[in-house]
Amino acid sequence: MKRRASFVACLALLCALPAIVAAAQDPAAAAPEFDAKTLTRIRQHSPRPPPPADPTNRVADDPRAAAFGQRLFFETRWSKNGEISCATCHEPERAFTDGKQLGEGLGKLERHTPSVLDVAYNRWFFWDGRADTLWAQAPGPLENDAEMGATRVGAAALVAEDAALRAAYTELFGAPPDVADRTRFPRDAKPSATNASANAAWLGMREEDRDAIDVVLANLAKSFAAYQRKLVTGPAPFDRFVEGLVDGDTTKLAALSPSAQRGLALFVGKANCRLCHSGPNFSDGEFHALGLVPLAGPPPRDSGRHAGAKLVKEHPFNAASRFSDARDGDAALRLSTVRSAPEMWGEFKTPSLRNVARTAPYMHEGQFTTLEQVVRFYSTMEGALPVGHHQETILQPLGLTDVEIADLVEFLRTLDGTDPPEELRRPPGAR
Amino acid sequence: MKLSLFLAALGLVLTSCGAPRAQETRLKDVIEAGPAQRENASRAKEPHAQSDSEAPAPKPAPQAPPPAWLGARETRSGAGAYLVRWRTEPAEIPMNDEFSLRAWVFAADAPDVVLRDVELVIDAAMPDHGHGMARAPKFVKRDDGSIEAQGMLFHMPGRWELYFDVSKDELTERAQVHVELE
Repeated sequence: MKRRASFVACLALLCALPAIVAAAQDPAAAAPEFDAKTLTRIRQHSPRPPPPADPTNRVADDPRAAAFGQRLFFETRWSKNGEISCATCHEPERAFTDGKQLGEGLGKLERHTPSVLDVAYNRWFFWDGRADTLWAQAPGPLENDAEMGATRVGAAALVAEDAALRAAYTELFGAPPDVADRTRFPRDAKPSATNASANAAWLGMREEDRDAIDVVLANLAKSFAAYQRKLVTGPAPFDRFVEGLVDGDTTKLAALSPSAQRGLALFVGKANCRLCHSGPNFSDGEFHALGLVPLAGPPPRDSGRHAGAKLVKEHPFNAASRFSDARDGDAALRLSTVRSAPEMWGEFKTPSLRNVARTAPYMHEGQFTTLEQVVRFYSTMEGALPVGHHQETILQPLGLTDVEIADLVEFLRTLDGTDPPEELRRPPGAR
Repeated sequence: MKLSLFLAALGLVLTSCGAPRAQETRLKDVIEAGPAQRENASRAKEPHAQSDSEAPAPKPAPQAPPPAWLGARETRSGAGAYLVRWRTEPAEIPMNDEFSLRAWVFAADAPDVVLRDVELVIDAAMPDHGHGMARAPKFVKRDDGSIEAQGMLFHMPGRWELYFDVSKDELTERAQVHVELE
């Protein structure tokens, strides 16, 4: 009986031997060799330089403005219900996202909440790029009735009436205007295309009073930006790996598993993710249509960049506006060259892939809950809407194997950087 | 004086034998450009010859600066009527970073006279991707007859085609060149 069992075991081993040998020889089990071209492409993604300067914001790198902006970021009092701050949707413990498919403030939003980690590297802001600077982005969520529902007059009043906010503001920008007269400065006044009463109250104000309030709003926005510019993540395992490629340090090279290294080779090679997710921030900063089916079903109703290109030029706080500190600078030139064309319908901004494993769900409506779903979509393009007339034809099904999909996901997981310092991830003074 | 002539001649021989490619291109451009530019280029070499001389050099007559198109890249229009000279700033087109492009148009049979009575439109596209530039560059006309396209952007790696459409009297000719961005 014992001999028979041994015989069966040997037979089983013999039968399994080809599979074991095959597994040992399986290229999928090994790290890839990078040729010179691949190495050049890999090094285009790391190291990442410091964020670009923002000359349109004179307090962009003023630590006092950053501290003031941090206070504002966690401020709830100016929201319509007194409970919502920027941090409500950009939760520090969730990589400054909300983890939801679509954003939720006072109401349900139509797009997914992006992270504000590393936001200082962005060229355009919002999914449709309707703001051209980080500070020009800030008034939008503040006053949107579905987000915080604040008003710029109410915000100016809070700053004027709260001793700590007033002191911080005054140190940076001089004393805020006296808005005590509620008839002259109605707290519910703001320019709005959707809130008729707020808009009427705004238009009922004197022009010089509206201007004084706009100056306060621009200064608050620049302080928000000064804080958010500091929310930069530290090096990711991928960055350590690239350092290892340069200096040959095997400890650094171990930062990427063989699977992640194969994923990296795919990223810059066969899968060509680098076409759009280029450079150290893994984004070209521009806009593309992916053919994603909207959550509400086809046809797509969100025009994305098509409207964003128009809105950014009309934005009252853009780089060429009277509130900008560099009205003739590079950002203003960039703004003047923004192109608007019918084929931009449904294009959305290429998000950075840094910290991507921590910022699910994915896409502008949070259509995918996992990275594997995202990569599988690009592999098959199954369910994608047909490309419109004159629209770009970059995306073709990649035809990846299951192993390749797993390798790409494994690589993407190595792009998580270290969080900004803890003191930047909570309200000032909180423990 | 003899020594200086010898050194000048030696300098010319060395330039033609072992100079970097950019200088060779510039010399070639001068030859193609015509006698006026050849004269300018030879004048540009005079200070080198004089610097080796022990005798005090005669004060050179004031020179007109060389034309800005000297040494620029050249592209001929498809039907052969025009020569477009162009250069970018920075000199190498960057991947996904703004650059400016300055272009001069010449008649192919008079390549040293900038044409000022033609219209020039500069554009670019990635045919493999089915898209053009994400920007509409700002065109500025310069005093020397050139057109400067500001805010150009090649936002993706791969093959870009750069188009110079020259129009006159309702006829348009295209000069086209491709650029590979890695």
